[in-house]
Amino acid sequence: MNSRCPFFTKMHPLVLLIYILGILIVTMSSLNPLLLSLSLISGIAVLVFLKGRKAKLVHIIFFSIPILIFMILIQPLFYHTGQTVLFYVNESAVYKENYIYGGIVSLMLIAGVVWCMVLRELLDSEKIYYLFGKLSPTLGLFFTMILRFIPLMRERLEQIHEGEISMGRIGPNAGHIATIRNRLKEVSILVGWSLESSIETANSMESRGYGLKGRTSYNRFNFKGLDIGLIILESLALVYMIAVLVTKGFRVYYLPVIILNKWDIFNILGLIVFASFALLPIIQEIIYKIWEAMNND
Amino acid sequence: MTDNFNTEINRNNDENNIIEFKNFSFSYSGSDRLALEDINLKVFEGTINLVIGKSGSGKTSLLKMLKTSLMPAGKYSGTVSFKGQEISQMDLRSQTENIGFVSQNPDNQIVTDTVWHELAFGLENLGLDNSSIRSRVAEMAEYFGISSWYEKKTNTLSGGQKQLVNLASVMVTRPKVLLLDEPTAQLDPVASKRFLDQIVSLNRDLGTSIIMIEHNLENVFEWADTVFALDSSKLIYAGNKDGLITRLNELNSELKMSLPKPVLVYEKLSGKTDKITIPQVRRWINNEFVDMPDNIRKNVEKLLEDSEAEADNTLKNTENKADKKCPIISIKNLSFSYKDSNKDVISNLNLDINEGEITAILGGNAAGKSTLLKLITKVYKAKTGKIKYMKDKRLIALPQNPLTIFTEVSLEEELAEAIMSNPALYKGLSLEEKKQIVEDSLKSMGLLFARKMHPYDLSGGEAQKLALAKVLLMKPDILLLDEPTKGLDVFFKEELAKRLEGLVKSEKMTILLVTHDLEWAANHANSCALLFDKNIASRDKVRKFFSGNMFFTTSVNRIMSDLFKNCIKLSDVDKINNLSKDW
Repeated sequence: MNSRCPFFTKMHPLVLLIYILGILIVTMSSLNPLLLSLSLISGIAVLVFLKGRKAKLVHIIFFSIPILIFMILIQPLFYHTGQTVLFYVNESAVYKENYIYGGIVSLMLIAGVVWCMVLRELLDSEKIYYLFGKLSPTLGLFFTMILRFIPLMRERLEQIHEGEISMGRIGPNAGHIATIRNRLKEVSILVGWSLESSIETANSMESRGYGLKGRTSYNRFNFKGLDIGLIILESLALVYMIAVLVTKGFRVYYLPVIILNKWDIFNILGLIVFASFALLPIIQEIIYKIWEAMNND
Repeated sequence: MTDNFNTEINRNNDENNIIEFKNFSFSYSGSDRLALEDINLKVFEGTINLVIGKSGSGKTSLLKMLKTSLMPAGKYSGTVSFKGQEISQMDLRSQTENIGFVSQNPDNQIVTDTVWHELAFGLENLGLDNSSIRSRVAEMAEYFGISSWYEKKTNTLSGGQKQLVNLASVMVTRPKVLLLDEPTAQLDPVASKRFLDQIVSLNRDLGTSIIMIEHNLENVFEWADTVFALDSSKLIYAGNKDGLITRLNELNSELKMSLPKPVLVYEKLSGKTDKITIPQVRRWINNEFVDMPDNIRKNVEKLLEDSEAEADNTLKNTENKADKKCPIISIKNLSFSYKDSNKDVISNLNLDINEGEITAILGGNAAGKSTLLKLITKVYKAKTGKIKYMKDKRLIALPQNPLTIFTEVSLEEELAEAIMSNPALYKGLSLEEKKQIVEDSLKSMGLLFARKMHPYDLSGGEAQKLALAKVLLMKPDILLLDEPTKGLDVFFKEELAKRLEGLVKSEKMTILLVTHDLEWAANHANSCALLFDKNIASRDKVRKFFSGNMFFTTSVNRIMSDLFKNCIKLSDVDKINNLSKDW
């Protein structure tokens, strides 16, 4: 039950937006192996937490493979700097550092994609509409109209296709070219039909007052105390992490020589902040559960 | 004193009338013909007003004059006013707040992806703040009973639900006048009754004035306060229901056909117009014919039976001559379920379709009618069971929505395309001959006047005819139709019926159709099958099929069934009327 509807997803969209953008910014602007590993692990943890049994981790492996192949296997062959020579290709050296660098960049990209999957889980169309709508009501409306028309078009195309079959215009044994030609015709019918019906849609919009000045953008979200608290907390954490990043606390050099950063309280604390920031949905759920249990007693 | 009294009444009238047309005429730009000619009418506050008329009589144009955003380009004269203010002078805001509009197609009016957002759309436009939108939307959702699917995506709703959302999303801006342009044309009977009931209660609860174009009057006529009848751009009647029939009789107008059946039955038998609903007329008939001796009644029933049997016999004779015993389509133990579910939509269905007949498949919503049709046309593959077709018979289905088949820019080219894409059927014909075929086809459908027009510019009925013409050029032996009468008015329905009956007679075509339209099936099909619970529940010749049903039958039958079990059509009432005169 709770895996389907975690408490965190019910937070105000702004809380979710700061959370996900914060993580993406920090992850994408660092090449620190520890930080990236932490990001990937907590990303997967949060994804599993949000999706429950429906989480398909196999997908992560699927999209990781091409990234890994490109970054680790291919890229070093064309990029020639480093210290430790492994072998020569066409009289050019291939260096170990390059492989390590490729590996770290892949780690960053994979973590980024995992977080994007989390983003998709966290921000449904209503929340995205709200965030767009805050930017500009027209943009928000545009977004929700697209979401309306995609399934409508799909439905219509299916109707057209079924019509073509039942009129006997395409047989089951039609060749490829004939099939493609027919599909194109179906699309052209769809375009005509949709243009025609969009006139009626425009009428319906205008007769409900679309085009008046001062359009607002309705949303069903309320700022609660908890939301404000979380936003403050998130902002503080984010400011601290960015401070560490800016002061090069996480900075690691790979090419041509690997230079690791020195660990001090300042950046170790940064890592801890990052981990707790990334695991915020889970931590919040645990606190919520404990609080609930205490209140029940 | 009397003068004072009169002015008092006049003033009251003026206060009460919310919409007024004064000497109003209109012609579309580029056309000399007046689409509306010298219209004078008043709509009073809080009333339900019906606009009736054949297609092309100016009904929709009349409605469009009440909303600036809908006003077509053209020449205007005279005035249309809302509460004394000319409509064209009203700004968009006061238009939105005062006049709501719901049109025919449920899909085309929806703008956003979720129900809650659709409801909020109008209020967003008016620039209301979040909390007022919330309370207004909640109120409307509650009133229309849509709070349980408030969260849903709009594309997952049924047609009836979509139309309710459209209505609710117009009502959130609290208009004083609601304009409805054939709002139930695309809905099935259950959904359209639900929708119309909602309209009536809107009027009763909120006092919203309703102006509605509707061609199925069965469910609304009794609630209407005023009827406006239009005929070729002119207002031929404006007033209450009682006067309407007298006026239509006076003019000998075809429009009478579109009145609800109980009104017509009562008028045929009594010559009066004061009873209009099924229960009223039914009670009256039971009293009127109570003295009729049983044997005469039996005779009447027999007569009705015989008239059909005769036609049947001639049919059988021709069948015997050709010695065709086997059905043209034979369905055996057919089962089907959608890929993603184990639930059967159709299970173990058996059905034979006879050659040279019109067979109607009836059934409620989601009974699997369209699925069955798609199985026959091989759009879907059966899970188990077989469909056998007679050899060398071309089977062609006409899609439900004519817009799904139009590809060309004019009617002529549309039909020519059908010929060009079936070269095998038109081998060895010269271009001239082909042109002649197109010409004849347009003529037979009565569409010659529109030959250069774009197919999209046709009215619903005309588009349906064009689609039929196009399909007929593919020379089907078996023609399948999915809800062919959907959205058509009485006159187009009759025309369609004549066309189809003609095809059966002259070209021995076999026609299979699924429909919700019991009246049409009763009048024009040869046999009917009822699809219920994934299977054919009953199958019979039309009269037998409907006789004795209490609910699932024509309204004539519902009126007459206490006394005459097998009276199902209006023409049967005529026969009874003639006989009862003798008696």
